[in-house]
Amino acid sequence: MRKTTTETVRLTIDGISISVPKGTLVIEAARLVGVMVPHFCYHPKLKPDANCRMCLVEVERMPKLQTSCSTVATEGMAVRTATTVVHNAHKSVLEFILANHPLDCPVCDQGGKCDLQDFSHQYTATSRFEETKRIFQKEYFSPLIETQMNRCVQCLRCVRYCDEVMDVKALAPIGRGTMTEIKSFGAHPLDCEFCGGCVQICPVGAITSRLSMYEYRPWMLKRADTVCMFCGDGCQITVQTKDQELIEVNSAQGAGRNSGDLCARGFFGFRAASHPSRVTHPLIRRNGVLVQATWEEALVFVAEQTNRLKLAHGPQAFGGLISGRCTNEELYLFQKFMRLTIGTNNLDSSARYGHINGVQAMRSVQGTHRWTVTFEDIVQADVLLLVGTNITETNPITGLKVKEAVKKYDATLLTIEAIQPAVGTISNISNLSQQHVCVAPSQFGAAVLGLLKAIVEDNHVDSTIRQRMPDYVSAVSQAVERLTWDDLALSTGVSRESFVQMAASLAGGRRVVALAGQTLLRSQGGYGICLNLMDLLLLTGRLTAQGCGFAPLAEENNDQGAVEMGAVAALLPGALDLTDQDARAQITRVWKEDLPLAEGATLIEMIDRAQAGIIKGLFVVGENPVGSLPPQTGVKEALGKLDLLVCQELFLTETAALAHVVLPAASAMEKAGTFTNTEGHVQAVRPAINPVGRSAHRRSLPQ
Amino acid sequence: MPKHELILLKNMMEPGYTGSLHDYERAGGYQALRKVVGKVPPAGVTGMVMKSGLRGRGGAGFPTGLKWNFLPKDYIGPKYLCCNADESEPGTFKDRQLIERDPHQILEGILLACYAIGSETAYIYIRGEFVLGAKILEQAIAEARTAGYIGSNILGAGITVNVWVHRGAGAYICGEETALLESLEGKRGLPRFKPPFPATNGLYNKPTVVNNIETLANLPHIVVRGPEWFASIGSPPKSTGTRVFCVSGHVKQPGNYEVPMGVTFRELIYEHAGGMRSDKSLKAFIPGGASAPFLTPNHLDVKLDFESVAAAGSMLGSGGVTVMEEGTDIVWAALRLMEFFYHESCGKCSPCREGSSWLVQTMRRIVAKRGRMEDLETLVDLCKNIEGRTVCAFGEAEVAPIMSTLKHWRSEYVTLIQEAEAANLIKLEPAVRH
Ligand SMILES: Cc1cc2nc3c(=O)[nH]c(=O)nc-3n(C[C@H](O)[C@H](O)[C@H](O)COP(=O)(O)O)c2cc1C
Ligand code: SF4
Ligand code: SF4
Ligand code: SF4
Ligand code: FES
Repeated sequence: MRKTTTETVRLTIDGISISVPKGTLVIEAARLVGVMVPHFCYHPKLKPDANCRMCLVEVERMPKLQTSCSTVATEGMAVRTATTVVHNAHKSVLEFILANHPLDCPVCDQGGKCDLQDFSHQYTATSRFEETKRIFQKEYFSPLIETQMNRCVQCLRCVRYCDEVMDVKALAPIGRGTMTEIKSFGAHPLDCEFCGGCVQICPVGAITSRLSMYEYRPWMLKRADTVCMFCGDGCQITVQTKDQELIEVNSAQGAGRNSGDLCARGFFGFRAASHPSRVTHPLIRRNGVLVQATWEEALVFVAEQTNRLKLAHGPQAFGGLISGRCTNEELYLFQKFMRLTIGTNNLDSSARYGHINGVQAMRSVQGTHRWTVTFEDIVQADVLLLVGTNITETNPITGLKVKEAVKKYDATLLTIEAIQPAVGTISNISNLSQQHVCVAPSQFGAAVLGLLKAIVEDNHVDSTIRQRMPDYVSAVSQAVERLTWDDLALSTGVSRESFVQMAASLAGGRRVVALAGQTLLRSQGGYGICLNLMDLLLLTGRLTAQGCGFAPLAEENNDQGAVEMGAVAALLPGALDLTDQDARAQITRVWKEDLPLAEGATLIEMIDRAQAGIIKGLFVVGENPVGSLPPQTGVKEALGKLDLLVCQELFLTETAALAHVVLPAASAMEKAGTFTNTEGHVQAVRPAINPVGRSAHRRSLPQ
Repeated sequence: MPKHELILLKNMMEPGYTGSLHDYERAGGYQALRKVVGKVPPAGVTGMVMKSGLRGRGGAGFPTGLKWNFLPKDYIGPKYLCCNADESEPGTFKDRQLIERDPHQILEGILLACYAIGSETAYIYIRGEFVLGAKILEQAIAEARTAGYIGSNILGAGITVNVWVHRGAGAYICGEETALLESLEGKRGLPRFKPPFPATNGLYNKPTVVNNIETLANLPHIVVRGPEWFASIGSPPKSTGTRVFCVSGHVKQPGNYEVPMGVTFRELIYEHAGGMRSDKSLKAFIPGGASAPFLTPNHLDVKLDFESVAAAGSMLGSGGVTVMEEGTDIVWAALRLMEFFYHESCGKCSPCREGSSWLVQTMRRIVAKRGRMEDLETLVDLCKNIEGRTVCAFGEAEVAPIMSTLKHWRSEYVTLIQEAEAANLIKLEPAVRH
């Protein structure tokens, strides 16, 4: 069931004529002419359930009132939403819904943004109900999500969202009739993905967030529309604050690349920014201990030490490491600082852990440093191949696009993952796959080669490609010929038949998107596997076709920006090659200064050089190599040897604890700038609160 | 000797009839199947059923052949027949007897229906409490399978039909056809909104026919004796054939009586069910199961067919006729049914869910002599606000007892309330208006 349709039908809503795509629901058609039909159970993200009966309208030639949320607009249909009959019907349904409602608005967190309040106000609903209201025993629900079932209008939006959109199925209606209540599935407190979707989608105050319980009335809150600071999906969020205090994060229905959906980190993780252990003042190591200092003292100290080391050992004695959590502006400034002020290309960012492999592969095969597809293409795809993503954990919103494609539009999902299908507390993408291959990360490469071999051997190579690129095709063919099915089966545990089947599904797709995730990108040979994935697409004629492409997933919110801003050793801003003469000339023209010539050291090389005493000074912004690199790299010992370690950090991490100077950084909640998400969308970051402590970010970068 | 020829109950009324395959075959069973399979095209069978005028016996009285015809033509893929044996309507107990005493008659009906609609799979959704019925059906299916009537290559004609018995878990709403489908799929038994109808989007979203047990039991007879014969029985053209009426309440001989449609209630109650159990006269009766509005002695000469009962302001429904004698507390009787509906409202849609709790509480107050005059207006209002606004027909059903008793016996409500006011049993504060 594809949603692209060009057919339209014409109908009238309250006499206004409108033409809508075939299949449009009457409630949506009404919205298009500016009529909002009251509703509770309807939600554009969900399949209609027509249970609340609030959205009744008159449809000409139909004897009964119809629910506009489940009635599809047809040619010539005449709908009336504003007659006395309709108005009275709305009023009476509202009277029913209010019958068992506790009317505890004064203590309800939904107060002021509640559909039930709003409609009651609109219909000046009176109630003749004088009987006893149902009362549910208050029960502990979960550490983050609170339920108040007496307020529930039983629209099942929460249950349907959790199932249809999230594929988590953690919620269920229990009981019958008026005594139906929403509970976690099973006799235990809610244990789920905690995406907060149920909180966001509940039209009343029956499911709320415990983080902001009893904290506010909506009109007391100041809002900032910004971008989530956690993963590469780049969700648009609205941060709500009261007197500089972070109260709540949500995302407006349909907003941003995430279209209003969030994950646990985005929805519940905002308190990280106001955590009491934030570094709020500059610290300087004196007599072996970090002690509080002023910005002036700290900057002077850093400047003096830098000058001293540079004079004695030259610019190559320095290195810089920056987190892909920083804004594009910060990343750009940092690499410029390292290249011009310090004079070295010894420079890296968190993109090194994995994302750079995907970008470099795209650069070498298709000459782009960004995806050629978008989230919409994922939703529209008819075949999706996921390799090493564990997407529901690493990139949950891209994961939702995959789920939407499969669950709503019947896309074929092929997965090569290090996970097994399982019913668990969080969703598992392999549960949705039509064909799943479970291999260890070390065997992702072999599995992709198996697929490639099957594509070649089973003649799935596109004829145009065969004609236009005969050398390439024969090179690949010869290469896969050298692989034996026995060897592949030995290393992957996957039979030839499985590869052949998967290859057939892949080759049968018209809109094919291949997603590569962190587990793959970070694995040994990640770059090569990315190239092979693009071989798959190229051979089947799907690399350049409309809606098709390769999509490596960025882990951190601005890993993509880090690469594009040139915050890696080998690339200049614009993801231009450092060794490319034209590129260098171009940058030099803009900067009006010469670039350092020597090739830069990457993260591991910098650690090795620090160990060898070649690098003596290291600037680290928001990265924690001691915490994130495996101990066998000797990172801690290497950093211990440095003469100058400057860390700019939110928290006193393992790395910052070794530093000579720690500068307080501002979190994304406290600064303006831009982040580039995994698709390459550059999005505005806006401050929601003032910088915490003395972490004023404008001064926070050594300039 | 019964006054009218028995059709559905004929075999089981023969002395010594056990319902076994052997007995059924000896009584002429499975001749209908032999007559059509491989000989009459499926559309021909549907044609016969159309011609016979057979209408559904589950409650709504929908023409059976027409329902089958709604299945998409030229559809490739699985289609299903679901046999509704949920029989939970208070006062209705015919399907149970048909299942327990003559299971092969039903299986033959199922096989004919499957043949006609091109379904290879039939599910019998049977009320959970019918433990015996389920067991008997299972045994009969096993017998029929061994005899080559069920399974693959039926009667050597290359046709496959498998029949499965699925037991419900005790919810009245699972008799509603779409709730039945949900329950069969393993989900909560809540009705689906319509359209789409099961004919196009039924079990597992595939074209599906849901038919009542009694409806299906008629099929072998239509095929063997011809649609014209069937159409001549009862009160043609709109109500053909017989119906098994379940007479209960204050009669001498409660039980199932098969009579042609069109006989009067008077005949059914006084001739077949033996008349009133005592010298008390008839006060009220429900003509078609708990969902049908009450009727009065003035309606005793109404004919038992779909149109006549509808014209009298009620419905033939499931054929459950409950008789109440003079002295029956009508308001209490209405409350008793309301308690049932309150208990069974699935809760999916607001008007029914909230309305049933509101109605039942108001009725309880009135019966407990704590009612107020304005309650009567509220009751009517609430009923009107439920009717026609719900997901399923339960909404119409639950308001029937209150609406009809208020219509015919309003004075009894008034008396109860007046007694309440007189006895000063209530000292209510002025009603709080929100
Ligand atoms: C609340 C409700 C309960 C129902 N219960 C039953 C039932 O127990 N048995 C039954 O055959 N039909 C029942 N029906 C009717 C079915 O929905 C459906 O119309 C019927 O099974 C169709 O079969 P028929 O066309 O052969 O009558 C019920 C309907 C409603 C609305
Ligand atoms: S908790 Fe909210 S969303 Fe869920 S059913 Fe109740 S009112 Fe609807
Ligand atoms: S998916 Fe990523 S960007 Fe979106 S809310 Fe979660 S962590 Fe933030
Ligand atoms: S009318 Fe009653 S029984 Fe039917 S769906 Fe609505 S709540 Fe359920
Ligand atoms: S919004 Fe249409 S029935 Fe609830």
